[in-house]
Amino acid sequence: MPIESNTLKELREIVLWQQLNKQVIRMRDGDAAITSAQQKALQQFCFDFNLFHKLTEDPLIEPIPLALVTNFSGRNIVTINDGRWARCLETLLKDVFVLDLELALADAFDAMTEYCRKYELLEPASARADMDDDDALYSVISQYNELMETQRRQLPELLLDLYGVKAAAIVALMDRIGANLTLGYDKGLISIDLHQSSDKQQLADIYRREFCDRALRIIDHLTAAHIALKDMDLTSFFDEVESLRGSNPMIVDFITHERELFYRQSAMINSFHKALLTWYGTKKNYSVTICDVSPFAFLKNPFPEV
Amino acid sequence: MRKTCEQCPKYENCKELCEEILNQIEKGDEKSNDSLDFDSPYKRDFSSIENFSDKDVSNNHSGSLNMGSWERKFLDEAIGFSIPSYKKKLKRQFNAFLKCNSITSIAIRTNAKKQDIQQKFQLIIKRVGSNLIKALKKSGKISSQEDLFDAVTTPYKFKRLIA
Repeated sequence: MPIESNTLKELREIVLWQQLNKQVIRMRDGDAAITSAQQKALQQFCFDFNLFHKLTEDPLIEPIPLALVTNFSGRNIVTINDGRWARCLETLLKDVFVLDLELALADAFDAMTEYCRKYELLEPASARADMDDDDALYSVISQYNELMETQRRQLPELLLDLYGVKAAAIVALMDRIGANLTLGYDKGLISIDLHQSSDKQQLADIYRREFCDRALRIIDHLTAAHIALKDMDLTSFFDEVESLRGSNPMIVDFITHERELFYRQSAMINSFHKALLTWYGTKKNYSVTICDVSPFAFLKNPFPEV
Repeated sequence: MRKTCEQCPKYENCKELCEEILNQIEKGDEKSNDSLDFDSPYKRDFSSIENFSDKDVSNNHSGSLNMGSWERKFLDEAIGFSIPSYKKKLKRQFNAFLKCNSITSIAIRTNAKKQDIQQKFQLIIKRVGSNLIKALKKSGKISSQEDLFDAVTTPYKFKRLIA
C-alpha cells in the first residue's frame, strides 16, 4: 500500500534513529558507560530536530560524510566524519562519543529499501519508471563531472583535506601544551586559549604553519584569482549548455540545480579564504578556534573555523 | 508513529520497526494511540528481512555482456574502487540501483534530489565501466575493436549492459 508522504517522512526519522541506536547498543554492549536515560536523550534529539530531514535536506551537504559528537545529554555536534578530527574533538571535549551518521544513513537506506519492498510502501517500480534515461542529459552530466574533477571542486574531498590539517594542527598544539591546555567558550565557539602560555607566539606559529598555510594551499586553486585564469569555468559551462540545450527540460533542471550549488559552494570557499586572510592580518592572535558547538552549525557552513 | 516510539519502553534495544508501527503504516493512521500494548506478540515474520548491505550485487543478473563469475567479481571490485570508502550511502544506493531500483525511488527514500543521484551515478559508471570494459577486452570476452562503453552513456544503459 503506497504510503502518504508525511508517513514516509516519519518512517525515515524512526529508521535513522534505530540505526543510531544500533551503534549505541554496540558501544553499550562493549565497554561504554551509556545509561538508558542517555539513549532516550538521543532519541529525543533525533525526533525533536527531524534529524534525517535535517541531514539530507541540503544537496550541498548531503554528500559530505557526517558524524555526531555527543555526550547524550545536551551536547550534540554534527560534524565531518573524519577519524583524525573526531579524535581531536573526543580529546578536547571529554566524555563525548562519536556516532557515524554516514553509516547510520546508509543502514537507514537499506532498511527503508527493504521495508518499502516487503510492505509495498511506495508505488510499484513500474509506476515510477524513470523517464529521464536521456543520452543528451547524461552527456551534459559527464562533461560537468569532468570539469568538477579537473577543477578539484568536490566538496567532501576538500573538506576532508581541510579538517585533516585542522586536526593535525590541533594535535600539534595539544602535544606542545600538554596538561596546561585551556579551552575558551565564546558565542558558541570553542577555542584553545594561548594567552597564558609563555611561548604563545611559537604556538600561534605552529597553528599558522600547520593549519592556515596548508589550508590556503588546499583551496588556492579555487580562489577568485585562479578561477579567473581558467579557460572554461563552470559558469561559462552552465551558460553554454543552457544556450545550446535550453529546450531540453531535464538538462535545464540539472543545470539550474547544479548552478545554485556551485554559487553557494563558491561563496563558502570565498568566505573561508577571507577568514584565513583575516587571520594572517590579525596581529597577536592567541586564540585558536576549534569549532562551533551548536548542533547544526556545520550544516550551515561546513568549512572549518579559522 | 514517532509518538509511539517515544512512549515505547523498549527503546533501549530497538533496532527495527515493530508490529505497532507497521500496523500504523498499513492503516495510514498517523495519530498516536495512548493505549498501546507493547507486549503484544509480533504478528509479522521479520526473519526474512535480509541485510541488504551484505548482499552480493552480482548474483541477480544474466545479460548482454554474458558476465560470468570472474566478471561479476571484477565488477564488485571495480565498484569498490570507484566509490571512496567513506561514501557508504552512495555505495549502498548504487548497489540498490543495480539490483532493481529506479533513480526516482532511490531519491524518494533518501530525501535526495534526482539530479544529485544522476550526477553521482554517472561518475561511478564512467569509472566502473571503463575499467570493466578494459578487463573484458583483456580476457577476450569482447573483441578489442568493440567499444561497448562508448554506447554506455547513462546509468540505465550500464545496468542493462551488465544485466
